[in-house]
Amino acid sequence: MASTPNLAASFDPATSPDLVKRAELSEIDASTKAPALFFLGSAVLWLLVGTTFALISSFKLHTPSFLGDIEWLTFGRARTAHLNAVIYGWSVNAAFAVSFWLMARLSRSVLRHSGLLMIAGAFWNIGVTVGITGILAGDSTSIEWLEMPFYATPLLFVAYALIGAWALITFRFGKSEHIYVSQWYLLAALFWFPWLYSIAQIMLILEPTRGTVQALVNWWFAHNVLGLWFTPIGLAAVYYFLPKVLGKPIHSYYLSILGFWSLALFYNWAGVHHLIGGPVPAWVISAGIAASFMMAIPVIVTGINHHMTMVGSFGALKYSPTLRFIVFGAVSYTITSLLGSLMADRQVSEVVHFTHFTVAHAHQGMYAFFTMVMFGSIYYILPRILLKEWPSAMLISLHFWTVAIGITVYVVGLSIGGIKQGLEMNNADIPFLRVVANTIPYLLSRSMAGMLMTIGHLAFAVNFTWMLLRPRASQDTAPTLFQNPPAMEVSR
Amino acid sequence: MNRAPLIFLGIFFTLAFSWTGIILTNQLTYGKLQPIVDETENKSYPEALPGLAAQGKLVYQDLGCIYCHSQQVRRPGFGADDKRGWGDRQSVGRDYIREGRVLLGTMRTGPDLRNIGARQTSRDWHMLHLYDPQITSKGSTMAPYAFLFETRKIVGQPSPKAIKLPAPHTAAAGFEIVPTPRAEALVAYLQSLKDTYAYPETKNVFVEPAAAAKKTEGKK
Amino acid sequence: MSTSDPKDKNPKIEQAGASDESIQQVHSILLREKDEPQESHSPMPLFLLGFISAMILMVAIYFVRNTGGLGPKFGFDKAAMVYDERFDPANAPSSSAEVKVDPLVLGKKSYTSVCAACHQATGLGVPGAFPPLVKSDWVTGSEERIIRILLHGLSGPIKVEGKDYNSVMPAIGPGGYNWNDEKIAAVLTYIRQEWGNNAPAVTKEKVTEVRTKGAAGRTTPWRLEGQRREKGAAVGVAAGNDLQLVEIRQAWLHPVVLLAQNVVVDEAHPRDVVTDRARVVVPPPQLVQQHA
Repeated sequence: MASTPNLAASFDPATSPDLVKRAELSEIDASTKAPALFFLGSAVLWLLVGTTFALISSFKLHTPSFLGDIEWLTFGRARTAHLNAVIYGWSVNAAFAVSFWLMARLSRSVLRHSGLLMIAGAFWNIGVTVGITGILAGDSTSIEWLEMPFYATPLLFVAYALIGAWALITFRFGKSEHIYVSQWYLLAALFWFPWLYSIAQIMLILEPTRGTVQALVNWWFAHNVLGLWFTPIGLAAVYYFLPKVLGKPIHSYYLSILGFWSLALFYNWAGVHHLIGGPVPAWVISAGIAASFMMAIPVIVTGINHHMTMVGSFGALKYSPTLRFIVFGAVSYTITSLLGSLMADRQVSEVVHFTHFTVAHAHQGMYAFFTMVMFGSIYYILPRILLKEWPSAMLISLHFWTVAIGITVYVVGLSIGGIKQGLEMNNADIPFLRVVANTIPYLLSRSMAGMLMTIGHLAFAVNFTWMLLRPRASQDTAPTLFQNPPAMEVSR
Repeated sequence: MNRAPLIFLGIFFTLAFSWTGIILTNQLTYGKLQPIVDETENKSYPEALPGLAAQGKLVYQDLGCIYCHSQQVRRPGFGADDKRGWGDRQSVGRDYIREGRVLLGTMRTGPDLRNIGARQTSRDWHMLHLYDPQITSKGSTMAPYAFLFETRKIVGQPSPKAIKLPAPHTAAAGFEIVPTPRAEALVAYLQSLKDTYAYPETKNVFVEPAAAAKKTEGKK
Repeated sequence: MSTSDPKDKNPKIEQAGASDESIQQVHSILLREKDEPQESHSPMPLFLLGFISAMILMVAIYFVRNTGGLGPKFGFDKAAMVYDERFDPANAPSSSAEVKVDPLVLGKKSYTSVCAACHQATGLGVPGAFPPLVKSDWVTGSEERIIRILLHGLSGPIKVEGKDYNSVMPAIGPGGYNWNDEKIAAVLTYIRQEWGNNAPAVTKEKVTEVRTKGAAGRTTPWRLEGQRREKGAAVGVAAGNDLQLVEIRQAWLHPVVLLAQNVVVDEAHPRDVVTDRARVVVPPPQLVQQHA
């Protein structure tokens, strides 16, 4: 194509005049700039911190003498610091940024009281910093996903209260009549998370409940953070960006509804599958397994919805970074969730429980799905709030390929290693140390995958910073259409 | 149409439903289990942790041992927990009711520790293993915890608590390696981990129908 | 509401005018922002309804088969104590039924918890204080006698293995440690088969029998006192009966032994006390209470 197509033709021939809508959107984007930048910048910093701890932990598992004399970096603490940095640092900050931006856009309302969000962000990030420092110093609570010591959590609580208040205000002032599917997911996530976290804090730390009821609380909480906080936000992003980038509607509203409510119903109960074979009553374990099986329904329904939306447009993956990351994430979501349903089967669990397979599964969910979706979202959002373009296509490409290959090697390697580990562990004739020795090659492959992913993260961070710092120049292709509609400079 | 209140109700209900079913029901049913008093032995089971072991549990938490070690034995026939000597019965809820923080763990990079106190009673083994796992378990990927030990000059008599390390860790002449209080506490905790009491509910196991038929015949 | 036909094969992706610059390839899409997302209203595929119904059915069946007993007759309270999902309350031993307990295991545990304090884990006792159980025919001999000793205790001077002891053994049965019959039988079986002892096991039923018939109503320890009886000396009692432990009553000068009329000294156990200093016939099976 030698000439640029008519800009007017690139608009959807909708019935309502959308120039007004576009102007509105640009206003909304501008209002999200400060908080979104704050959260996204924090997220990228935490990504680098989390990646560092990830590498340290990964090396220590196959080479235990690595930094072995430093008490602050002992594996039990470094691994925990990694988890908290990537979850509460990177993932939650990115989740907040993407949610605000999506909420503002989908409610068609300017982001009000962004000062609230900035204060919230400060509290949150200080809280996480204090928490991770506490973990490294030895104050970890040793409750999975809730390890930050008691002096950090009030800061997180204040932050979230502010965000909750803000969300209600925004939603109330929303001008859109139809509540789009992404908004259901975002509303749900914003509501569920504080309840999960607060109940867990109360029932595990403030007034610990008795015996293994603690385990039930722990895994109801931790699994639901994955399924009722990160998953909905990830799906909200997919449901927004997929049709947005393609210019096509989501395939079926009915599938969206079914997908949402079945997720809400079944995901809640699935957490007990972390305790298969454990010291809790058999009936509640079976209930958790049943719910985990039933999760196949929302996963397949959502997968169909996404796939049918994409059908015919797979060529676009060549061009759009956002689309590429989002589709990678959405496909990973389907695979990881179906694998998760499989892992809940007692015979399968007998082999893979307690092994590196579960680590691979966790990373497939949080990274191959959620993190990739966040990357895609950030690639879309940042130009719109900074009114600049990403400086380097090469860095984006490098980012994509290193992390895509990296996470694939990671998941495949550790999954195979985990199955082998589980089968050998269930054979009492094989001495335990031999089982351990046999996992080392797979742990090494994970370290190598991790190093690849680190390169990708550095590429991303460099691109991000460069974009932030470089001045808005004329060679930038026009950010959004209504900046200068008549004098629109099209890309060369 | 403002569907928001409906959505909110649905969102709330789903969370409340799962919390009630998973947590509340179990807190009401087995959360109020009491220890069993065994009259022959005049003890109540499960036993409370002695003081030093309780401090050791804090060290266990501080160092993040749960990320490699589980503390739950699966029933015989499910996995090989019993065959590996990790326990002769499935861990039951009552085993944990005295614990302020239940540390079940979800990874077995290292062996299950629920009954390590019954399996490995030697303080010296634990000390050597903590100092550098390679000493007792060559090829282990467990981290070394030499920072839990203090190398100090021998003043007067050598400490009876000093540990004897093989080369290349042997202390220099005139020096001894002594466990810090944290190490002592941690080892005391590990030595306290044993679930040997047979509560009544440990009899609630699956019985093959043929065997059950024989039993009822015998009773007649 | 939808503005583009989802079946449209031509994606509404505008490609950069000049596609030779790499930046265009990546960024051109960003320039042409599309409308906000919409939802189309394609109907649910039929196979999906079938799939969902099948899932519900299969998972319901799975759950019902693995409830660990939970059911209409076996409520949450009882199911809370079941950790094996295959458990079937119908097949399981009921809570009231006796579950087979290995008497030697129970016996050893019981011995260690109470008896070993005096008789020692080695069974050798403490010379001068507590008699040994090793190779003692107090242990391996008459089971009735040893059952009675455990039930009610024993005090006063006795001779074991040629040595004198004068101590108090507390009652292990009712009125003392309050062990049940099964436990007493178990510990007796244990001591009769440990340390080289080799005597038949004691059954729970025998303990019950002795407790309810032979020594019912007794509240004080047995006493055994008197002179050693040399094997073979004439006593003048009928032969052939099992030895019954007899009650003695302290007289103002000498200990007096009350003998049941048909009691004999068991020739195999000559050390049991008999005295021929005085004899009072007491109708069996009543034995007279010792004065406190």
